[in-house]
Parts: sequence; C-alpha cells; structure tokens
Amino acid sequence: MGAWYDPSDLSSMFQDSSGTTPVTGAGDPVGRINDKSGNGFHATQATTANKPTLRLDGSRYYLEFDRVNDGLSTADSIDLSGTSKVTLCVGIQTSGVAAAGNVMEFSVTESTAGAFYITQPLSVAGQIRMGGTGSSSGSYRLDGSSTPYKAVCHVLLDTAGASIAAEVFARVNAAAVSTNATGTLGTGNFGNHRLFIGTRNDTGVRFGGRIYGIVVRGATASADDRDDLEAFMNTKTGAY
Amino acid sequence: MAYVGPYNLVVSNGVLLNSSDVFAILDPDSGGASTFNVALSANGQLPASHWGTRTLLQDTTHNALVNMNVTQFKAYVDQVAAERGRQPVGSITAFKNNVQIDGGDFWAFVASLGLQAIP
Repeated sequence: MGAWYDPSDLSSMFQDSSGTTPVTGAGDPVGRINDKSGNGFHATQATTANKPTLRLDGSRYYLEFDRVNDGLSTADSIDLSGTSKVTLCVGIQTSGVAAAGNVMEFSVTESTAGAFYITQPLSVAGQIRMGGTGSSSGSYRLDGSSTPYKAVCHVLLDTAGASIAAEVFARVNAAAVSTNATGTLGTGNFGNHRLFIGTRNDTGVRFGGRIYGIVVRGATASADDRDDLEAFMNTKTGAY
Repeated sequence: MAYVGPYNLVVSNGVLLNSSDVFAILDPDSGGASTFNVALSANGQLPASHWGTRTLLQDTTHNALVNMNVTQFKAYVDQVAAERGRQPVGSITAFKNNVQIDGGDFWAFVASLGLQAIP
C-alpha cells in the first residue's frame, strides 16, 4: 500500500481536478497528479489559485509550490494501519526562505497518531525535518544551507524500534541524518489518513519550493532496494 | 487554454463575497469560490481586513481584470458564466473597483499594502 507521484510523467497530470484537461507543458497549473502505484490515491486541488505550477529545470520537470496557498491532497485516506513500517522518498529543492512549509504530511497534523511528515520546520531556512508519530512523535532534522538546494530525502520509519536511532532512518543526498533528534515514535501502527502535499490540511504551512517526486510505501525495504529508490529519485531531482 | 502569471490579488473583506462569486465563474475548475483564501490584516490578527491570493490566470481573464472597465468586465464575466453553465453574478462592481493586482512577490506586495498574514 502506498503512492507514487512523478511530475516527470506529463501523462499523469491534469490542469483540472477532475482529470479532463491534460497538462501540456511547463507553465500549466496542476489540479491533479495521478498516483502511479496503481492504488488510486490521486492528489488533487480544485481551486486554481491553490494549484502548484509545472515547471522545467533543464530537462527535469517539477511542481512549484508558491509558499502562499498551494497544496494537493488525496481525496481518500491511505490505509497504512496494518503496518508499523513506512518508507518515504521525495526529491525537492528548498526555497531558501525562512518560513515553515510541509513537503508532505500524512494526516491533518503531524501530532496525529499514525502520521508521518517531511517538512521545512519553524522559520529557519534550509532545515528539513523528517519523522513520524506512533503513540508519540519523533524526528531528525538536517540543518542545511540557507540558500536553495536540492535534496533527495529518504526516510524509513519503524515504530517497532526501541529508540529514535532504530525508529527513524533518514538520509539526505545519500548521507545519513541523525542530527537534532527529537522524541521517539512510540508504539503502534501508522494510520488511515489523507496525504497532503505542500501544505498542512490544505489550510496552512505552505511549502515554498520544488517537488520532483514522491514515493510513499507502507513497508520497509532491503538495503539494495533503498539504494535503488534513492538513485531513482535522484534521476528525477539531480541533487547529487 | 493559456495561462499567465502568477499574479497576486488582494481584496477588502467587505467585498470577499462578491470576489468569491466572480471567481466561482472565472476559475476554470470547480473550486473558484475559494480563491481568496489568505487572511490578512494590519497587525496579523483576526479579524481579517483583507483577503489575498496568488494565482495563475487565463490570459483572457488577466486582460479583463487589468484592461476592462466595469461594464466590459461584467459582460466578460457573464459570457464566461454562460460558456461554463455557471450561475451568473448580479454585480461585479464592488469586486472590480476594489481588487488590487500585482505581479511580483506575494509577501512583498502584501507588506507594501501595510498588511500581514493572519496565521
């Protein structure tokens, strides 16, 4: 169970939320991006002002979020309640602006039981925080450059771990992140929640920056598979 | 359809309803009534005195917003409503005479108006 969003595949995107007007190229609003995993968790936005814009970075397409009112979300909840393990992988470029913004959040807020998130937290440019919530919340935070930079963020969450080090496996650009640890995930499986992209609950915490791809998977993976996923996301992003 | 922008639009709270009714027609998608969704005020606290948005606009809509007078704009909005099978709006005067449009950074524009976002 999970979802996969790939802005490099123009056939997966539409200008309108109902999926009738295809995206044709850079400069188009994206009202719908289909889930390529086959699970049907398409992410949509019915208000044009709130749609990210498809842009082209050399040969790489991405969704541009404006830090004002952009956001996408799944209409249906993704049921990950049967697992204590989740794999997340995103390709992004940060905005270089000191403002909080969610790259993605599973549930209406990160403190909801069974949630997970990748976010630019607080009001310090260049930070990326990656974590989740079982019976409690735990995360690692990378303090990156205050100027815009590209990042392939790869996070494995396992609420069965005994400590934050065993619960959160975080990498940015193929390098482990274990800095600025906060809390622990506690216990319990992940939840049955909607996925929000670029926003919290489509009401705030708006991401400013680029998203080159998102993978969410309700399972962990072998080391080789993890490396392959990072490499795949990096072909979309060009981070390293 | 060709899009231009994005553009920043700000309206006073008193014309939010009219603004929402206009964009329920002008937004090609179904959620146009929620276009003005960034609450603003001078001190960053409720109540909102203004509402803002940042949006791509169809090129015809942008032209209508910046180049048409009230009468012409009303005719344009009515035409679009008919084309899309949407409920026409009785008057657009309040919105057209109030909306402020800018093509730069949204937050710089808001600050230039003496406003800030309400969290």
